[in-house]
Amino acid sequence: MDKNCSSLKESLVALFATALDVTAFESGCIVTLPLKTVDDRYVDVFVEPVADSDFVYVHDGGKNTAELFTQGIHPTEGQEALLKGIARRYGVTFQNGRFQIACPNDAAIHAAVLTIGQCVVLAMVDVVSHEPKIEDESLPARVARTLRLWQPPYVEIERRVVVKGRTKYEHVFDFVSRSTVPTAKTVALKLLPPSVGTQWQIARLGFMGFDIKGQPAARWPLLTVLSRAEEWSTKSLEIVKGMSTDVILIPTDREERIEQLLPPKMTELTDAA
Amino acid sequence: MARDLFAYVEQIRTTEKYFDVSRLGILHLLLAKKGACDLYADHVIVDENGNDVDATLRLNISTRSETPLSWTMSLKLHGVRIDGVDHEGRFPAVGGGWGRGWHRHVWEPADENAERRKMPITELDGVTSRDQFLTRGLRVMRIQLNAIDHGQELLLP
Repeated sequence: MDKNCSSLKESLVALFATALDVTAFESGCIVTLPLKTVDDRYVDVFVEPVADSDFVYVHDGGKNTAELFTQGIHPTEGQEALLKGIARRYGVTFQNGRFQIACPNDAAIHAAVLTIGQCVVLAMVDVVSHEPKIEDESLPARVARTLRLWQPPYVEIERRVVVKGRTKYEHVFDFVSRSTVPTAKTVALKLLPPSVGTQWQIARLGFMGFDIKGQPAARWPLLTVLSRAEEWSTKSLEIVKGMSTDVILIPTDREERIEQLLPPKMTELTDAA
Repeated sequence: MARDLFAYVEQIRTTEKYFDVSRLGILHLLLAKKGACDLYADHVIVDENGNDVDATLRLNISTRSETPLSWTMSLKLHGVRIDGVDHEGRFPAVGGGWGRGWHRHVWEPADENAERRKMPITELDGVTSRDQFLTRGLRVMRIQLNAIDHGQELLLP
């Protein structure tokens, strides 16, 4: 049996040697271990000398928290606590989204490469339970459907209407209800999600108002729909109200409310001529 | 009204997608939000009956680390990666053999995700800045941004 164990060891050493890669990058080496994460990636460990120091950082480059994020597992306090807990158990630091060890010598580097590799494998465990989330109908789709149901015979509904401003920039209204009779008004709809920042959205809305001044589009009543209403501060809301003819507020997970709120507003604005 | 749109992933991947945010705006978000940004866009796809169907797409970019090789971006549908680019030391490449370095994730209809199939790409070789990563990565994934940038990068989100 001893002989069999020896040959097994020899063949495993040969296999591991073949499966182990070390490649250079601009500030150090990447060690690719013969270990896979649950999302089927080989584990990469970065070995990077610290400038003006004898120490070498062994770390995962923050690659794995980035991978969790890009696979749809977004950071939570619980997840951060789990990753810190894994790091603590292995005597590793978890900082700025990466597992790392500062190593004073080669022996420490070798051990650290394996330790960081173990942390990486465990860190990806949330991938196992990640399931697709089939969302409800999106807000623009609900608005489109609601407008079609509301649409009186004397208006035409257009989607993504582009208006060129004085500065030649193009501005987009998500929907325009265009009147075909002189007794009704054309109404523009703008959907404002806060995802890229409420101040940003306000700045863009303000710029659009300035840029299209003097054009027919500037005279259309503007109905602004603010989604994730709870993320808008009172001050931001006041500014949007000041730049719009009317505003509809839709809280998170209450998108269905648009179906009740939109038709009466549209009737009011369209028939206000 | 929930509807599984995974059957249209190839159509989404091969058509231009538009996110209503500027390149500088994303760079600002990456600086302000620990190197990560989470953006949504509604993309109209055409179903087998010729009807328009709205798909909510999510663009996630992570450049938290100072090491460009750790940067990653993905396009998601229903919370699942359907496209993306990132870097690995070694990976089994689509079509056989091993790939090394930057790659694009390829949709696998049977798995309903783009996690395992990877195709080597050269567009991101030599990337050193977030701006380069953004410009080249989004081009690979056929994602367009808003050309208007009127100082948004100066605003806090």
